Amino acid sequence: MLLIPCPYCGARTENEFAYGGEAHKVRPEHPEEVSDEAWADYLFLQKNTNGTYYERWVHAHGCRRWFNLVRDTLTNQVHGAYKIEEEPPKVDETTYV
Amino acid sequence: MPDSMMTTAASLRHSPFDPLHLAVRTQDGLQGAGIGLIPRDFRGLVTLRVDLDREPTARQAVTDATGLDLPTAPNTAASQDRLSVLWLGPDEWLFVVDDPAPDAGADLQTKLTGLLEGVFAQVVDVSGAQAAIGVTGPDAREVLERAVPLDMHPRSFQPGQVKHTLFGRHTGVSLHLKDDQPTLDLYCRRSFTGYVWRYLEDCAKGAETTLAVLADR
Repeated sequence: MLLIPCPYCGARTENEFAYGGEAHKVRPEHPEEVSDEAWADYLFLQKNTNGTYYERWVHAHGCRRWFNLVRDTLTNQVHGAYKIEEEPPKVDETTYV
Repeated sequence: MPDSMMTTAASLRHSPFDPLHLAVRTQDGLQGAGIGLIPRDFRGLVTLRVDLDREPTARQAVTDATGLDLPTAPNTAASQDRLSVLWLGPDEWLFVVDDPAPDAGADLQTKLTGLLEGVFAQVVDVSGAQAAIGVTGPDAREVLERAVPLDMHPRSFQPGQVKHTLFGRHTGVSLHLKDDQPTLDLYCRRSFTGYVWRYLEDCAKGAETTLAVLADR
């Protein structure tokens, strides 16, 4: 089980959290003007990186706050967590083939 | 109307512990038991949500209303006399009035709402929504460790701390560690009282310790 460092509560086990998909996706500023294809891309397409990945989590059974996490999706190593309004930490990004 | 036909808020209330029929098992003191559970009926509970960065005056208003300074450090609580305030999140607190009076929560809500006039904040009386279970005894940490994913060891869970976590498989609870006995207060959704109570009884069996039901006061 992952030990996730919630930026508010400190390190807690994975089962207190819920996953929220890729972080830093930019929502189209005027959703009513984008094409169906572009909107579907925004909603459903994720980078799904095999390696260092920036993703959203919510501390569902703790402080109930959303935050971002940098995790290696292959090794499950957690590189750090940061609040939504903060800049991501500097990490050596790895992508496996 | 004769007095006997009058209904009061107190007489209409049902304890969430009623279905557990605890009265027949209640004893005085642990008497050697490893863990004691205390049905803490009817506490006044009030939640406060306010962003202290945007509303810096709220902190003083709360101190004026309650005499307590809002704990801003994560996982901490402050207590004074019969009132505690638990940190639930960076802009969320739970006040606990240790008083079974029917209007304990409503009174505090009125007081806080009055002093927070003009402040962008939310004060809600949630006394009916949650139940409190007292947990005490030398094996309390070991038994709770079987129910929650937290590290219950004294090095990472110290008196004065409060942690909100997953209990069993289904429900969230708040654990407030009050002293080193250890004595804890566990707050759960009211409808989960039976589940939490029986789960703790099972955990006590698993930890091979004896469990006692203690009177509230």
